Amino acid sequence: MRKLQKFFEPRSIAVIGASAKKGKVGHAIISNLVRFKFPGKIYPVNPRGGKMEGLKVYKDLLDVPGKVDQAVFVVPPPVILETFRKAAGKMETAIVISAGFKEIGPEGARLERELKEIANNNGITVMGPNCLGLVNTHAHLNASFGAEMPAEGNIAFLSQSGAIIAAILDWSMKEEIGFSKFLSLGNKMDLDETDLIEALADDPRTAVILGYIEGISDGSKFMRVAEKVSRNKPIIITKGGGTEAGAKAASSHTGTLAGSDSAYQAAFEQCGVIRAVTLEELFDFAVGFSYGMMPEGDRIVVVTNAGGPGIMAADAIERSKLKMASLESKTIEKLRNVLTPTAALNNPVDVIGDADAKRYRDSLEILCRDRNVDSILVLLTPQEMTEIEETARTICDMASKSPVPVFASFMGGLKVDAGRKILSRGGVPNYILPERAVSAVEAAVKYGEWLKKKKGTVPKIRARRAEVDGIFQNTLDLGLTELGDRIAQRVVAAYGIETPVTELATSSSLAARIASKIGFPVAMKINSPDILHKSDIGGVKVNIQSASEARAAYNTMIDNARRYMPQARIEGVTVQQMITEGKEVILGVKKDSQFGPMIMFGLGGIYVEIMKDVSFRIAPLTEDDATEMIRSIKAYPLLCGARGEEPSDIDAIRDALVRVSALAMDFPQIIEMDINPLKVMPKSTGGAVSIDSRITLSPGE
Amino acid sequence: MKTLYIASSFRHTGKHLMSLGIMKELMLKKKKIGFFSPVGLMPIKKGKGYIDQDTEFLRKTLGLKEPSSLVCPVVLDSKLMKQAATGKAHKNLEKIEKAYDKLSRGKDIMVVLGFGNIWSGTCIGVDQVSLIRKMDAQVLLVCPGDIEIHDTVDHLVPVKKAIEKNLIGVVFNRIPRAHLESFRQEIVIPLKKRYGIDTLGLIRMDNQLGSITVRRLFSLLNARIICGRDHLEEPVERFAIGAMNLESATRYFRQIRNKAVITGGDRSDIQLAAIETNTKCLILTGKNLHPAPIIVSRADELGIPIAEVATDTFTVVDAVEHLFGHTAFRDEVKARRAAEIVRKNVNLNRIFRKLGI
Repeated sequence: MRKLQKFFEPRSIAVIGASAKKGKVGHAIISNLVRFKFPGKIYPVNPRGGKMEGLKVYKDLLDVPGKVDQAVFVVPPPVILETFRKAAGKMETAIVISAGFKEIGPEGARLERELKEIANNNGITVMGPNCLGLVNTHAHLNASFGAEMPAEGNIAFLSQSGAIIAAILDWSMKEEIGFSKFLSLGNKMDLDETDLIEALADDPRTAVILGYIEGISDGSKFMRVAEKVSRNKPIIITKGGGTEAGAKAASSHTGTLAGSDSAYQAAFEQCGVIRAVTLEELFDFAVGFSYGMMPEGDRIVVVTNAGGPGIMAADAIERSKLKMASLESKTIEKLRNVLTPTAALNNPVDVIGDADAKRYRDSLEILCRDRNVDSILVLLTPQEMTEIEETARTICDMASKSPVPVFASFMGGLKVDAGRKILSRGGVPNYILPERAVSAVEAAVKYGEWLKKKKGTVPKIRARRAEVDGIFQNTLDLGLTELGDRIAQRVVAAYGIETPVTELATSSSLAARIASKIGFPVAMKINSPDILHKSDIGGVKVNIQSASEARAAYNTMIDNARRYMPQARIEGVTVQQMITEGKEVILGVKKDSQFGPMIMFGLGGIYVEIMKDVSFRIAPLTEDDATEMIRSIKAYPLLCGARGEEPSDIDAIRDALVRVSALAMDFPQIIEMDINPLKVMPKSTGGAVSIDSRITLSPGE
Repeated sequence: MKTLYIASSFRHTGKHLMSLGIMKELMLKKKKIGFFSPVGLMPIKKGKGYIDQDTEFLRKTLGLKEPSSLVCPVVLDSKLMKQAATGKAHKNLEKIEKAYDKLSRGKDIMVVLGFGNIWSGTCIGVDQVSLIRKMDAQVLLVCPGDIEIHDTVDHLVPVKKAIEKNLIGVVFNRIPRAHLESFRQEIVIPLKKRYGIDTLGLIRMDNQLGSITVRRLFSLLNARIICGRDHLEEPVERFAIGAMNLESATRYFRQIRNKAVITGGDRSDIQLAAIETNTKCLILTGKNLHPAPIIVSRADELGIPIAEVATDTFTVVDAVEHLFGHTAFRDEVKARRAAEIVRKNVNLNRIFRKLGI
């Protein structure tokens, strides 16, 4: 891990390119340092010399006494290079704010490479180039050209976009949200998101790490670090470029190849990173976490002074992973005593439009003691009798005494604003709309569930690796990248996944003989390395019941193949034992450019192709990962035995998933793979058999 | 004196390759050889007239002293093309015969490089079948190894009928690597048994030989180079079009090595996918669609040239489609490799025996 003490809390700062002229970035930096009372030494550097902001201006960094902890650069790239070349020994860390590096083309990229080399050789930690700078509220450090200093708080925000920092900074002033740090990543020449997340894990001033990123430099390093850090504090990330159009825009912005969105989703879930889809969610979640609101479970009760908002909240809860708490009967009894007869006593609890602060207090006092409640959402609409500010103060008071977290939503604008300010200052996370409150609670609950998970180990798989290696080598040597069914099935079998008895027939009479030997019914498939979609050309026939049928099927298939794909090399027809029992599931591998092999699982047939009901995980998989993958598809109940059916052997699917994961990890040349279908037997028989598979290799990896 | 006529059933099949390989071997045997190319199809201006570019390269590579006008007496320049179209081309056969007589004097063996496919030439009054008979040449036929079986037979049998005893055998070139194993069983044996045609060599697909340099690709497309000028001599073996979504593109690009990627100038996602997956150059299409500077930076860092053309992807694909594997080699490295491939994969001794040398 990188030691970033001097970077976050420098005791001396030199600003190379400091300027006395208003409107210049070099002026904004120096005036921000002075204005927000940076307690350490400030050395403006400018060849003109003189004085600015009451400070002596040095003509050259070399003239500054001693070694500075931090050098902030706001001069053109050639001057930065020159300074690094001659005065690398004068700085511990650096922030390069100036643009004009790799983002402008090869010329700039060359300068950036040279800069990186000098920095690396001299052990200088660098943020940027092409960034907004660094803010550390607790150290009174504002080495940025952002106009304001946010309030002190426990949220650290790192961003690949400087502009988003500027906007959030401005917004935070209005919302009175405090931050510990703002970090602008820029071109990520040296420090990247993972370095900073790792450093922030040890920062006592930071309780929540927020990030806006467009791409991750190193997927597996990120996962390793994020997984560790998430155990101590929540990481919430918005990933820009999640759609095709967004990814296209991001690629010309960052110059890194975006991984697929499902890979990001899977990676984040696996390492406990909370993903916020929008910037709104990012801050909604952050607010909840920054107050340390961690419900123990998913049961939530809603208290409201109006029916409509309560219904909307109930809808949002039902749609989320949360559950509407069913209240204990003694709770309802107690509520009956304190509320008016027209009040609704079940969840959502409606205290009625004329509720004053006391009625809210009484209800909360009772509800927070209910053992079926893990969190409380208090809704308030501004009505004639509503005591907005008094109720807000009451909620703050109750929240501080409550054993379960309390969230609030004061719906409205001008009227409720004062109440919301009270709630924020009183440590109650609050939101304009109940739906937003619900998703913040949901994020907290999901994170809580992740924390409870034990970290599993990746099982060791016994496999015939040398055999697979030989098959892959041979395929690539022949100039091929796709493995047809028969060869792919050999690979699958080498990794211990069961495959049906299969033999190759090169004539119709041989087909009939093999079929009789295997025993009817059999399935027959055309065997050609050039035909991957066998059923499309009439190259598959199942349920063959006799030798004469087998003979006929052979001839039809060969004719079909010759007709539809005259160029294909046809090696014959495989005759396969028919597996009639079992449910069809699909296992797959897709290699992601950021995170490596990603494993896919879904139920066969329409469920994958039309319903897109699939789950993803980044390999390697632990057994728990595999189980979760199976459980997280919507069609999972079908595997558990819906409508009195016998449940399927889920352990066998889990085992196959873990084996596919091991295969994908052992052979990076696999860029895609499918077992489609894997037939899963009922639990009493047990087992799972790969019926058909396909592997795509890359010669370059 | 013996005459070996190298012909082919299709254009661009490997006649140059065979000629070069055989002549190099004959030179090692210290034979007095003459090289003759009756009609040249690649005119380049030299002095007042035209000479054939491909013949010229072979002539120089082999260090032959005879003048190009004698080695390749007829060049298909624009004048001749016009004459051919109006049926006024004549006297060419005479010109060829004269040059051939002069060139073959005192030689042990003449290697004649046919042009186009074996049926080409009638329109300019040069019927290659007659020419072969007149020269009393032995014919070695080069055939493509990447077409279907029945097509192979359909093309070979009429040739055999036309030249009968003059045909000493065929060499198959550019056989896909995966087909090599089954080739003998499916083609070589039936050809011999049913039609009495001897197969004298099987040459597999060689991507390097079929490759062209980035420089040549760019110049053929008249492309404007944006970066990577230090890497223009790299060989490109195939091209790939980037017109799909990013995920499909990445998957597709990962399967092809040493490729040129053709994509729109605004497809920054595809451009990145190309750059990160074993690509030799990028050709960006579309007017006023320039790549993002940061992508140019990345390509430059990895040494991948990028060039822009003002036309659309379709036009570019149309232009490059026939380039790979269809350009006669014009550099030393490829010539050396060509000779080596012929030596290794063609039964030269048998050819020489059949020729009686």
